[in-house]
Amino acid sequence: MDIKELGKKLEELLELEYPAVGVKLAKSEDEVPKEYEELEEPIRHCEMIQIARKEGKKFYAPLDKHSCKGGAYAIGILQNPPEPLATGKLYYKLGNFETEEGAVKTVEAIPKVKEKIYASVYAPLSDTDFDPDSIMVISSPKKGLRLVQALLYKEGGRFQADFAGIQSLCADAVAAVKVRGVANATLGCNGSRKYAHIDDGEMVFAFPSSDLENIVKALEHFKEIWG
Amino acid sequence: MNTIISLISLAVLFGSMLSGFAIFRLTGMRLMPHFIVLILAFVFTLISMVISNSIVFYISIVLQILAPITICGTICNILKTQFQNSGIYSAHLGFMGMLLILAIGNFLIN
Amino acid sequence: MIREISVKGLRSPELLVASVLNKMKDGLLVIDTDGEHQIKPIKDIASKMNYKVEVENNTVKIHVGKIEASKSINVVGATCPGPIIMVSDILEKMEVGELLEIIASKNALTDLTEGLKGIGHEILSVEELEDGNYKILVKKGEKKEEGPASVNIDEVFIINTTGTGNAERAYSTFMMADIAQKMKLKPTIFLMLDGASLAQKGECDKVKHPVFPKLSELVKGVLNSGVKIYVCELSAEFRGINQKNLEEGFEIAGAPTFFNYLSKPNVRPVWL
Repeated sequence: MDIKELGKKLEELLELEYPAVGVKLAKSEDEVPKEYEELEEPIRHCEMIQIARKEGKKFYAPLDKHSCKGGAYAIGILQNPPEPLATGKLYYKLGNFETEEGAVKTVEAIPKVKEKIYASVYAPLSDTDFDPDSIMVISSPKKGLRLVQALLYKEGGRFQADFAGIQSLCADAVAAVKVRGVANATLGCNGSRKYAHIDDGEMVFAFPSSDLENIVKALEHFKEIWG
Repeated sequence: MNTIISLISLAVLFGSMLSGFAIFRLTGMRLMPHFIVLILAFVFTLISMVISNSIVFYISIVLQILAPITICGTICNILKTQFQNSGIYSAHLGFMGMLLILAIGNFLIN
Repeated sequence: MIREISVKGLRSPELLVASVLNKMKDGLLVIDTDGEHQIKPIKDIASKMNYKVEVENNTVKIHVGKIEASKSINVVGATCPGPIIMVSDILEKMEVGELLEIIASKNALTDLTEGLKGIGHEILSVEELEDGNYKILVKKGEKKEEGPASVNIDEVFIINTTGTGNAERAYSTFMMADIAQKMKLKPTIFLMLDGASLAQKGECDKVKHPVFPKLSELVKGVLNSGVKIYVCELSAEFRGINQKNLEEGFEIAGAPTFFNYLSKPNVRPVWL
């Protein structure tokens, strides 16, 4: 089964209102599917996800189309960020942390794509033409529960999510998944809640494409036994 | 003639005691046997010049020959592995060379 | 494949590491940690899964399986500075992130690992081969560019150039290393020129000042506390010192190691 079909099944089985989104970090222009258009105006990475999710658009965004430097830095598109962002002092100034040390410590621990990325590519999973580095499901916690159960169905273990309330849809949902090759969940950040309009009742689950088939199989199984 | 050679040997021995002391300090009190032989050679050479006793004379000659020999093992290794410092040892080595020839000469002329 | 992850700030890093390892079929997992409290559980889980683990400072490397290098070079037989020049030439033509496999003899091992790290490359693994040579896997890194930021001096590089012929300097070399450790400064000793004589088997046994212990005892103490003692390869060769008559615990190294230490911003050299 190809990714598009699996994407459709995932949507149906989880009864998602909007499709899951596939994100690929393309190292060069050649890795961007030919028919994909470049985003016209610069916006944030988290807003791009919502465009693919809610409007069903397929597109890519190189550095100059990323208006959020934190997001672009986390996913490897921006390589030389301004000093306050790279060190974390920015988040102290924004009021996220009591001390500068706390901010620095947090930013040091944030997952980050180290290699240079040319552009980020987005598409609804059910219509994707590439192998995504991260598949994102933005849903209610209840649907997330089913997704986590599906993730653990084959091999068991525990699902571990880590996030820090900053750089959420970029670092937690894309960088962490790409770098580690394992799933993560995150609650969003101020930016993604405000500008990308992640609803209050929604949270974010992300997993690598290698998990997709197992998840769909597990969800089918759950459907059979739990309805 | 022997007295003159002995006197020169005595001078060389005294000089080498001083140059040797400098090396002795530098190398961390190494070459103790050599330094003892050097002092004994100096003492016996001095006595042999004051009292005319052939046993004392021969002992002084033996000690004068032994003195250069006792440094051979150590100095050969030092010169092999620490030639950047060889200048420090050159004065003492020169004295030892002279002492050996003087001792053999003194013995043969006697 | 090399996967590099960070578990900084995670309460149960071993859970994440286990999940990542479960999905890896081969290659190397490099984990950046906060320190010992994270390293221990990671080591435990990796050992449980029967993987070889290496720890260097706060980084844990878990060898999952074979790592394919894109190029390889054999520098066995070449002496300092040959190996590092040959390897640098190849790395120059490679892309950042590509892997190079180097086969080198013991003499060149430290130079290559230290020297390449100094230029900004990453040493992924070092493996001793059956014939006594070593297989080093290097990942090409980007050139290090360090800003003028202030750096804490936490290492001293003690260089002895005089050897056993100057007992006081010889004693000072190892006493300073001892004192530095007590002051939380990591010492490294480098013996060059006449200093290489200290590396000859049994040489330090011959130095004994009446008021100090034997020099060899100081050397043993310093070695046991984990201090690295390097001997310049060319200085040793000039003096007939080689692997056969090299004192135990001493390592042959060369100019790349020497310059790598001297160019580290957190290191102060001490010349003796």
